[in-house]
Amino acid sequence: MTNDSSQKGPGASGLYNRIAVLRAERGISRQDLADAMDVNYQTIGFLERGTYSPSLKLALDLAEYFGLPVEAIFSKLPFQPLSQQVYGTGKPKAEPIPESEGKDSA
Amino acid sequence: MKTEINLFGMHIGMATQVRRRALVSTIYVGFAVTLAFYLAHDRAFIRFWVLLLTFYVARLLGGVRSTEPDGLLKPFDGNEDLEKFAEEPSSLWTKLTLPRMTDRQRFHNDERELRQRDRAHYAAYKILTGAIAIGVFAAYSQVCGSWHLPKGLPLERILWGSLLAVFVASMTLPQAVLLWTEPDMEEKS
Repeated sequence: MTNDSSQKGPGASGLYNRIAVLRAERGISRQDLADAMDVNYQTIGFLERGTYSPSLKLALDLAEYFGLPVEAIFSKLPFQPLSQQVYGTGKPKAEPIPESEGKDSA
Repeated sequence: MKTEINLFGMHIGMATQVRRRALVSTIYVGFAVTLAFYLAHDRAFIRFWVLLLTFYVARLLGGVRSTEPDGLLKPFDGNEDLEKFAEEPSSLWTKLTLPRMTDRQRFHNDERELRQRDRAHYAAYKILTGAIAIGVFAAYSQVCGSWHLPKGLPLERILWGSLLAVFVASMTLPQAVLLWTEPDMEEKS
């Protein structure tokens, strides 16, 4: 699961979340999700940006809807990107060749 | 909150905060000018006009109970009314006191909307209390002789003007605070 690229920080809620990513993955519109959660579609936007912290009930409803544990959707720490989770640290293995060395060999 | 306002049949977009702030500013400038005119020229019809205008503005902004809520905001009591309606949909009391709540989305406030509603009421309460405190202080200082009422401005007119201002604020201030503070609305996608 990838990090939510639209959420740069935890926002006013102090929570990171993956709602936007999960919604995009499953092709669900904000309105669809809002209807399923019985909230206004604007509220989904505020949740995704982290400017609104949901009640425990709404958080559990979201977890149930996506079929995931609640900690897979909300976290106090930034989520790890998928590439890091699957392929390790995500740092490049090969050291970049300095420009001067490249010119010498040519 | 709706994205557009219905002003005498014209639908004007209100999705952006700038527009909503312009609307709120226009409304309060209008009320201020009307009340200043009333203080300058005591006319009974202006008092009546302010009352009518207040009810119209409250309906326009929303928040108040209405059989056909078409204001910008959902009725503040929407959830409670929905519960009562669900309990006894066909009782005479329900029919007399509640609107026909067939379209749930027009009345239901979600948890964020309820939180914003409560915050707006608290902010409005603080503003109103501050304004009343200033009025009380001004009245006391006038009694103590710190300043004198302008000639041709009787106390009764000031009292009426103050009462009307408090009435306008209590009917419209929470809605105005909400419309002023809510950020730009987003697309549904």
